Amino acid sequence: MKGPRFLMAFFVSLLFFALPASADTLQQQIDKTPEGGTLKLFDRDYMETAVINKPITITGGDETLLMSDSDKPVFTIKDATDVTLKGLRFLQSGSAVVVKNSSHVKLDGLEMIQMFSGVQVYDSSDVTIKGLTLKGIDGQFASKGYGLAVFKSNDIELSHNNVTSVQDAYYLEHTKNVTVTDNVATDSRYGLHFMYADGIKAERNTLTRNVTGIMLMLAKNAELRHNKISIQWDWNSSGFTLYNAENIVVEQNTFSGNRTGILSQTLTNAQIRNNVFSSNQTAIEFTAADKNNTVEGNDFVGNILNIRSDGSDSIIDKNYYDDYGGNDIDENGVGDTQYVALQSFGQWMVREPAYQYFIESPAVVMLNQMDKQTNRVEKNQLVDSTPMMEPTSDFKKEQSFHIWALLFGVIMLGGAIFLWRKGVKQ
Amino acid sequence: MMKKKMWLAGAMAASLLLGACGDKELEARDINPATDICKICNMSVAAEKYAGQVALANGDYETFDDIGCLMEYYNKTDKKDIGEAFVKDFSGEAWVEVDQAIYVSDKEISTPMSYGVIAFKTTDEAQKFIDSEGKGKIVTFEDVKAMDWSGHA
Repeated sequence: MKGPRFLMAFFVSLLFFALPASADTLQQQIDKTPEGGTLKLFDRDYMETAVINKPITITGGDETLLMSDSDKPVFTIKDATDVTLKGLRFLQSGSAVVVKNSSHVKLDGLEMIQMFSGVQVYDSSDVTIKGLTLKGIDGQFASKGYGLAVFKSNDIELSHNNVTSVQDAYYLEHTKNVTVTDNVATDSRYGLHFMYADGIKAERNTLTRNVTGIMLMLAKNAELRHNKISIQWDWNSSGFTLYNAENIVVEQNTFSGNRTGILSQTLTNAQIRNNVFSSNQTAIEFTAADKNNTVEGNDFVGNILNIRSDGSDSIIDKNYYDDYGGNDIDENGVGDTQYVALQSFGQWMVREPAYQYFIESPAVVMLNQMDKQTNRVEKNQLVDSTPMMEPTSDFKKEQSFHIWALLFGVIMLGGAIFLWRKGVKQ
Repeated sequence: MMKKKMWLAGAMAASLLLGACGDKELEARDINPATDICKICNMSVAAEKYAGQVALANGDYETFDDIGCLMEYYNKTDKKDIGEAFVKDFSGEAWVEVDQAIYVSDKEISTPMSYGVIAFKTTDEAQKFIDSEGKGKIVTFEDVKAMDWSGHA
């Protein structure tokens, strides 16, 4: 009798030993990996969630795909240090990674598709997120989550990430020492959204087709440089909105095709210098509560309104304006007469945005001409007493000559004339 | 006879017109997250459960993404210009008049501008939120009005 029992026990135990390791859950695989070790996930789909609370590196294979089976994030990194997630793919989940109360966390080359939100970081320090791509779900931005969101954390680096179709692509609240470089944000509500932040460096980011490129609110000590801000063109859009902010440097950015390039409200000690504003409806809008701001060395090209304000006392100096009509007799590169950006209609538009629909109407054009005459004696409001005769940037060099578009236009024009002549002869 | 009918029609038309001139009841309007922005901070009103709005006496509306922004506007605006002010009930779909709402305050309650105040239609709902979240305390409209709503970096 003992024989069959032994045999049965032997075969059952064999069965368990024969189970492949790939059948382990995500959590089991993490638990089995020693502290400081590297876990390479299998080339299969994981539909589960896991918690990481020890030093570990997790990587994926070409076919590894991670999904959450609940409203929890796929990975929760909690009370941990030295955690790295690298080369993982996430699909159709509420959230991919949540980091809580941790430090020295690196998320490298993660890919997220059709996600409500991507990564949330809370109460952590020394977090680096780079090379991440995230595509959100379809629909209106109010029904979506944030791409990468950081709360109450310090020493954060976000670089070379690409986030699209979410509510706010990069959201940072109550953060200190944040560096956001070489990121892309498109088709979202706000590209970069900073709130209650101190010590921000945002450089070389490309922000396109969002409601607002950079939303900087209740923040101080920010450097916004070399960013490309284009086609923020909705009813309430702007390239940058600087609200209740102080000590802000806005330098060498390119603003093109935005409803408003820079919209400011209660802005203090901002230096807006060496930027290019091209083809915006309004390049810069100040409000009365703004104080001690400088607009210097910028190029204003092809904007409908260059600067408008409802009464701020900003310093405007040494900018280039393509609609400046003065001369430079002494050839020192500086116009001999002042440039006045003041336009009655522009002032009204600050107070009532709906007036934007009357721009270039005959009455407004006439009003602008009258303004040009009266502006000759303006001494204070929106006056640049040293307007530059040439662009201060290499803006002109960037203009490409579209030979094929020209050729196509000439051929179409020739064809139209030919057909018209033929019609007249008949 | 014809003249009498004309007088009657004229009197009816006049009464209709005069009726239209009377005080109209001011109601909250729907929020459109794509176009409505906060009058104070310029943020879009994307999360309605934190929102507020003011129906001005002249028929215009101002919208707010956070009760803090609403109160900043409310406190500095002449009350003659404010027809009615509303906050959104956090646990439902209803708009509640600001002086009728029950407020819960805690700096740990996440709101769009981090002011940490949300509104409820009833005290029961407010208490239920406090019990389930383990944070917040009930405050009155007078308390909310007296809070410091000036944002600071």
